[in-house]
Amino acid sequence: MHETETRPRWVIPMKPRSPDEAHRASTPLELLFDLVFVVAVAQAASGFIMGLPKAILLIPC
Amino acid sequence: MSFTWFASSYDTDDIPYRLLTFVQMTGALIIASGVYAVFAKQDLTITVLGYVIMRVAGVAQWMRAAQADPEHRPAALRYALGTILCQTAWVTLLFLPKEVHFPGFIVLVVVELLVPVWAERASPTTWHEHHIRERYGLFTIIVLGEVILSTSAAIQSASDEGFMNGGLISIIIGGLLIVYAMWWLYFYQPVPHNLSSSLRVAFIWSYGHWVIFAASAAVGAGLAVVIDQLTHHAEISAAGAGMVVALPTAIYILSLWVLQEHMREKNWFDTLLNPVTAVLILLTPFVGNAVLLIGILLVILVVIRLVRHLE
Repeated sequence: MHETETRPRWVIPMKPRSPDEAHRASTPLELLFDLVFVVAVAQAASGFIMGLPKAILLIPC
Repeated sequence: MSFTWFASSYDTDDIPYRLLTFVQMTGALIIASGVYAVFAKQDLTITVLGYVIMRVAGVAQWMRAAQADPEHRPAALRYALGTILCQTAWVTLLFLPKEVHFPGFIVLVVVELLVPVWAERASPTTWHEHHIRERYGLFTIIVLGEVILSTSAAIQSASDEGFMNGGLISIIIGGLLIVYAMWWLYFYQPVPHNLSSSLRVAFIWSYGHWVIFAASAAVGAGLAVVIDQLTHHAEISAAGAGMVVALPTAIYILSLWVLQEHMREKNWFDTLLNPVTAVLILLTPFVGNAVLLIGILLVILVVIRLVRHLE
């Protein structure tokens, strides 16, 4: 079902993709999504650590 | 993550699809920017705003699928309806007193996780097993980037001091061993298991990955804390700093143990390898040099697995 041409299409009916497609790879859009995802995770992780009350990090031992 | 599964079933890559995906990305960035406020000020506003933006775009995608794919329309409509109800609940939560925010948060997260379970039971969507596996593997790799980022920061700090700081050197070596071993253990899957055999297997696998991603990111953030402790003498004990690396690393290998059945179903020795390593990792902060010790423990785990597999 999925054309491999690179020319963008306006609107394609959203038919289900086959679960048995051969050589189904990540698309450039999915890789961009991954990039956004990792930046978001990095920011969330640092926000989480910075936002924790300092007391939690002062494990007495 | 719901984008990943949706894309696996309905990726048209046409223009509306791309634009709606951009909206979802924007929502994800807004959520991330609000995490600090959630923990520092118990303020959910920004995070919920970002989440609603992301999910409304997701609903639009499901409505397109519902319109074009009659066979799976019941599932698509359930996804759309469940998501809309959840978003309404999130926004409502913002207007309730702060005391109920935390319990409300937990309840809504559970409900959110149940929406796909409910929807897929109507008519399972046509996701592509190999594609999904590849997507999750890619996510795992990029989240390991967090650990690499922290390790490279340690190398920078050590180089500024002329590589004379023994503590930093051991963190660099430990950090590198940790990231290489975490990568190896994730992709060490000699026995492929069948993800599409049942919805239950697929959901455990998918939701279990959230723990893996969170743990990986936390290892990276924890390493940053350790470096801070060493270089800027941050207000945290060395053992406390070691624990912020040890705990997520232990959780990481325990989640792999849960998700990768080949680690459990051979014999007692192979079954116990990961849990025992996890316990040893949790003890490292009390010994000192935690990061290096964790790295060495993980390498030992990889080596034992390899040797056992080659036999």
